[in-house]
Amino acid sequence: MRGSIKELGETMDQKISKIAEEMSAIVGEEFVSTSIFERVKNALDPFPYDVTRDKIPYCVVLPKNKEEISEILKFANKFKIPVFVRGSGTILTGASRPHKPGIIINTRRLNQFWIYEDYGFFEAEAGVRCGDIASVLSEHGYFLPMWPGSRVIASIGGLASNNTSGHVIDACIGKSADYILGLEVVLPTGEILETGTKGLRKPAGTDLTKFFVGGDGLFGIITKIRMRLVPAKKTAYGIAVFDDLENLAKGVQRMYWEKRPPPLFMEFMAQDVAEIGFKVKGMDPPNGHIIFFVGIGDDELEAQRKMEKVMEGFNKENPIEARPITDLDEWLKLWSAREVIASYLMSETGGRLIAAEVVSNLAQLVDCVKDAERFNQGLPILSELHNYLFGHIGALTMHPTFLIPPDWPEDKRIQAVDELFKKEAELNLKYQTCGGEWGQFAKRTNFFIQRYGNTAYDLVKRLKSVFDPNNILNPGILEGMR
Amino acid sequence: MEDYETILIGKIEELISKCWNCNFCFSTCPINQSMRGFMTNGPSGITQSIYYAIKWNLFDDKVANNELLNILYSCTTCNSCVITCKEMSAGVSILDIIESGRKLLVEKMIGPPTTQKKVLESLAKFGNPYSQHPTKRRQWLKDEKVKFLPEDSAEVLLFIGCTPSFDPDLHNMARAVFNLLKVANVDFGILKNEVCCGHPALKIGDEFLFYELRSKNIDQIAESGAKKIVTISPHCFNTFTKYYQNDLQIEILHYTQFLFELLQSQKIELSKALTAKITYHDPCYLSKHSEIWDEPRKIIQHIPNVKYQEMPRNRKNSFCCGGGGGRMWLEVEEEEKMEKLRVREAKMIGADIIAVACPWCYTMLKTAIQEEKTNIEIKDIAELILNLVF
Repeated sequence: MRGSIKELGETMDQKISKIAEEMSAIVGEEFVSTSIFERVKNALDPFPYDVTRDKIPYCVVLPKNKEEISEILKFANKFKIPVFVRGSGTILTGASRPHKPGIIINTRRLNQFWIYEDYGFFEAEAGVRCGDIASVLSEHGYFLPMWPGSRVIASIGGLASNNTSGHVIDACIGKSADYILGLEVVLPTGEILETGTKGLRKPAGTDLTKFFVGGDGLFGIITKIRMRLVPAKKTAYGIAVFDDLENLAKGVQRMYWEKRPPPLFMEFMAQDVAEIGFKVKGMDPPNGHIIFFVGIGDDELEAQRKMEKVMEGFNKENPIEARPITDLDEWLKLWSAREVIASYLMSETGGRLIAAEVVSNLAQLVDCVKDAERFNQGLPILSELHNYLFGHIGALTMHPTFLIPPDWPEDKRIQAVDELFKKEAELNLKYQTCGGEWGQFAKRTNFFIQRYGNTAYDLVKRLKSVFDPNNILNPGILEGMR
Repeated sequence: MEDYETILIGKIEELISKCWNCNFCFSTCPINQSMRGFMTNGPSGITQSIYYAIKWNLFDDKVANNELLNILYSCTTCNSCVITCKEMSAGVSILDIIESGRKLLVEKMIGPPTTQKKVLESLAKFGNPYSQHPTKRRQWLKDEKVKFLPEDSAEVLLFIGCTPSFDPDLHNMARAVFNLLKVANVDFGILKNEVCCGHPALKIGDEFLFYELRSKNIDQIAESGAKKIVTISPHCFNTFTKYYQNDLQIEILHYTQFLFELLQSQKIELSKALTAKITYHDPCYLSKHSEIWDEPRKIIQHIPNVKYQEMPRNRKNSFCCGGGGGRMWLEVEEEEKMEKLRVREAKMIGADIIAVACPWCYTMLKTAIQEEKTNIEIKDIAELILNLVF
């Protein structure tokens, strides 16, 4: 059979050896690994179950530039070898976990970063870590309008492919796509493409950038991203405490309905979750469910004014307490109490974290919060576990979170993950929404089909085949084979 | 009854069950910055490797064994990953897994790498890792008179350690600490039959050899009646505090802590100033393992005219020199040597002097300074201070 991987050898070892030889000719021997351990690690993600031998890649390749990636893809196309692109592998939907052997392109060596203040943008290669970009931008008086929980390690290429801004509230500053001016992309067939502009005005009309930013890695490999520089903002902080979730949710609705300015962040923790975070940080236990937020402005007065406007809305919903936080130390403690919850729970219980992303529409937020609170009720497996509820309520997003006990067998763990995404789908269908942080396919493919129908799904499949006729790039994501 | 290997495997499996592959540990790992960028060049890549070697019983596969050896022994044991995981993720005892993995390889006679095997042989035969006859241990002393414990008695036991004892380049470090104690009229002595504290054996994975070495030291220390142990190397300091202290009930100090006390109580006074911009490189076993970061800085800041400046990565975020975890005796293929990256950081802030408080950091950074062809000087804190006393 011509143009097939079978031409490269009969046995797995022969195939690996031949593929590695070809990869070495492209990127240099020292940047190709056939080590079983390297291959295993590149097949792992945060899901709480092990990888199986039949799914580990043929080899791992560390290309340095778009030209090398182009050559890899041309070779892969010739022999129809799957290629899986990997940044830091932090996504929580399974999209970075290969379902069959292939070549792993790890973007770690795409690590160059440039600030062009005279042009008003920065450029970063796909493997640069979000946290590193944020630090450098901060030194120059700018900020990165993305804040994923995994920012210390998440690569900008992965963030752009998912069009995520993490915990940041879309209604305040938008999403990655709003700031991305252009891309350098290698198509699955090996052609190199530049999209967008070096101006500060995004293209009107056809802009190929849109296929790749938020393209779930289906249509091409983003190798470089150009993003607008965003001046750093001044901030002001607030907190509100409610004795029931209903009032808390109404406070958030009021913010939007009464045209109050959505803050940059608005996080919430159910009381039992807040108790954990507060205890870890040595704070007095909270007397209710906590909501806390960051108003931003070009100067401190504007930030404060915006924060106070949000606060006024909450005050109308009978909070136990609603007040500005002026002591930065108090704010940092509160923020870190939120940040440590997952790590503390895992550390204390030895459990492995899985989380859903339940997104509400604005009108039904009260109902949705209640649904998120009882997320695992009646579920065969997850009902055995406690639901730790927190999330980015300002973005109408909640994360029912569970800790898989260390003594659960593999098959039960797999079932628990499947159950989680099934329930997530059920709720997001009910509220006619979709995930806003972690991509649309992999474990969410069934949801996509249910939510948008076969016509939409077939359209994506046809689009995929236009870009990637041999379906070699990140296969399985669209098919939901994770 | 479970054998040693089964216990090690059980420990590894239990500890790693908490790791959820978030990879946050990569963000601070020095080998992930210095090596080529493969995922096994990073903490959870290393720990998952030993886990899958156990899970799939890959120990009969020579190629896999060789890969595993390179992966496990590339780690400098700097502890950055442990701190990051504790602060940001599941609090996995990453270093315990790596060190247990090394012990497992040694037990299975797969490890350690050849050059480190020689270190273990030397430790067993000579009581030091440098294949030096024990009689050479006191050559640095020249004709100086000193109390030998436990035959003599003294308040303070100065534990010299192997590198300052045997490496001629580091003799000045031993002499500087020694002379500063004399200046301060401290009642101190050294062990008559000092042997290695055992740190290299522990890090390379020979736990039993470590306990042999420990017992040789601990008997003498107990008999000496000393009230304090002062160590020159942070590695000895860490080993004593973690593995000796329970059986000794004795105060253990790194020399920078003791020196700071002596300066504060004016038992040592500086008669000269030093006009220079100095930065301090935190040794991992003093900072990230032992949380001692203030005293060395306060000593440097005590020097008249000195302009002190931190490197961007400092204290618990400090960047490893690359010499820990047995890597003093191992050639690891790196894209950029860690020690060079560190020297460039000092160069970037315009430092005239990098002050150190660890013999291995001294050696690593001195080599990097030569290779980088910079004018930066490297000075041990004790040497720095001693030069300003007279």
